[in-house]
Amino acid sequence: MNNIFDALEICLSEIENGADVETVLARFPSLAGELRPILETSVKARNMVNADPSPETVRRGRARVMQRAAEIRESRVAPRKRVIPAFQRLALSFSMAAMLLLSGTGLLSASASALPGEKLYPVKRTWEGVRLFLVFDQQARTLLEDQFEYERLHEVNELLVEGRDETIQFAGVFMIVNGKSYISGVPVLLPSNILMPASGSAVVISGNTNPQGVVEVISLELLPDGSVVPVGKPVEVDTESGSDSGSGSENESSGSGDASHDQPAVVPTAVAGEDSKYYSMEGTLQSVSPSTLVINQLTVYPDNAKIKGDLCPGVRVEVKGYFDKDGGLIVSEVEAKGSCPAGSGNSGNSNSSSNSNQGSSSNDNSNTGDNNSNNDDSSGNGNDNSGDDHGGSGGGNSNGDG
Amino acid sequence: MKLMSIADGKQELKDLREIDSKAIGAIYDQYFSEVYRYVLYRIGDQVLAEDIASDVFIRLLEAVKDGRAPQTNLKGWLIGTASHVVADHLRKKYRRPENEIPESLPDLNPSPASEVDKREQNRAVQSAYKQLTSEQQDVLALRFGQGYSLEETAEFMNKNVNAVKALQFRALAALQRELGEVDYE
Repeated sequence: MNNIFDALEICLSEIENGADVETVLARFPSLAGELRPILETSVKARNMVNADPSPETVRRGRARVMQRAAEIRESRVAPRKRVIPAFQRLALSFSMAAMLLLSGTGLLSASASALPGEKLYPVKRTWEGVRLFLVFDQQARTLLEDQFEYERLHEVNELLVEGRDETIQFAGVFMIVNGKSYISGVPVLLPSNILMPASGSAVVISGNTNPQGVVEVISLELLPDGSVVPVGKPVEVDTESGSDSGSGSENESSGSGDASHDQPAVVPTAVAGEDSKYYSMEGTLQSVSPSTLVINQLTVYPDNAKIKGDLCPGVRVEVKGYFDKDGGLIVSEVEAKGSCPAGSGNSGNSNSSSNSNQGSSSNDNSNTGDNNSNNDDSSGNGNDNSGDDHGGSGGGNSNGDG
Repeated sequence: MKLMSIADGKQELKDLREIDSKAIGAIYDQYFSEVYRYVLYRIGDQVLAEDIASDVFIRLLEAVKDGRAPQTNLKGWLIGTASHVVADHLRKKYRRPENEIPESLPDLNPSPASEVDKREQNRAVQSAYKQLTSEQQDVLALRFGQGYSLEETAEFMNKNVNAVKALQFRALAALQRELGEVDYE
């Protein structure tokens, strides 16, 4: 029976090479009767509809495919926060189930407060993995992931308080306050090989806590815009409002180059007696735009803010607001603590010639980036002025308080 | 037509795993026409052939994304996937029968009387072809639509060469029978 199949294949090859049906059939006279209609049909099958795609068809298909490829690439890069792979989740759940059987739930409660480096810490993290594994609702899962991110930040703070040296990883908002780097309120040291992200960027870092209460960053990864990360506590620095006489020595200790910064670093502090989410800060307004204010080098964002007094660069202001999820201070109240300096439209330059009159003007002067050129003056006058300045601004404060 | 060398295939697959746009574009340019012709032969509808052929490449991307990328022969994977997609399409279509011959049958050359006859004959062949089993349609599409060798066809259909020889004989015999019936109608 194989013969006729082989004969057909030979005939087909020869026809493909240009031979006609009768010529090839002559080679298989005994099979010719059976093969003839088959071969004729094969010619029809070969001639049946077939056409190359038009250039337009190729282009449309290509666009569709390339678009899907781009989406896939994007989804690969996109960073959904450390989602635990399904297999890992499964493995975690099995190991956790085994652990539960062996030790009972006491182990879990004991591990709840464990910190990195402690024996029960893997139990805590494993249990988190199991909880994530068991949540199928995406929204609930995201909330749980957020909760665990907050827990990581809390652990880092605990380690720093205890002065321990442990390897950690956490996500937060990068900020530079008074020349120092923080991530969601945690002081960090960035090695020189890591590019400093923009203030307000959401990042995830790994590093080590050290006994000096700082996290030494080993690696830093920028998270995309819109990532939800824990904000943490506002940075707590030894803020001097300006009315303290001790501010002079503060300035001296901060370095001679900064002596002209008679304007102390001001960071938002929780508003006493109010909802703890509200913070206030006071400082010199450096620039004003419809959507942002820059106060002591910190950009804040007015949102339907109640504004008292005139706002102009150079004036001392007090603002009250809250931190949004990205770590930005959203300002709901702004109060000018003084009047706009004369010619405030070009305060930076004009103040330098008129600062002998007003303490507040000398504040502005120190803020305009002329520190280096003014070092001599400020080292002499700055300290002398600091009393006046602080007196001035202190007066502003007392007026405000009054 | 030569069998694709394994070395070439490996390089293509390596590039593909990166979802590199250049590599994807090159793979598309190299194989789209072949996949399209195969699908068009199987279903005889240009619009559907365009959709299904590009769908095959999207399935390839999805497979790479899910870590199910073809391991050896990319062209074989594409033609095999096209065959599955066509079979799915035909199954659905048979559940919802439509007119026998789609109006979008290739009618590329508006033409004189002899061409009209030829077109009529093609319609008849197309109509008879649709009565064949999926496997018979497949072997004819690969052997006579694509012009693949016996060996390539055997590889794509996951069969040995002798089985393909027998299958193509039966497919042609069945087509001839169906054509006889079509002619009488």
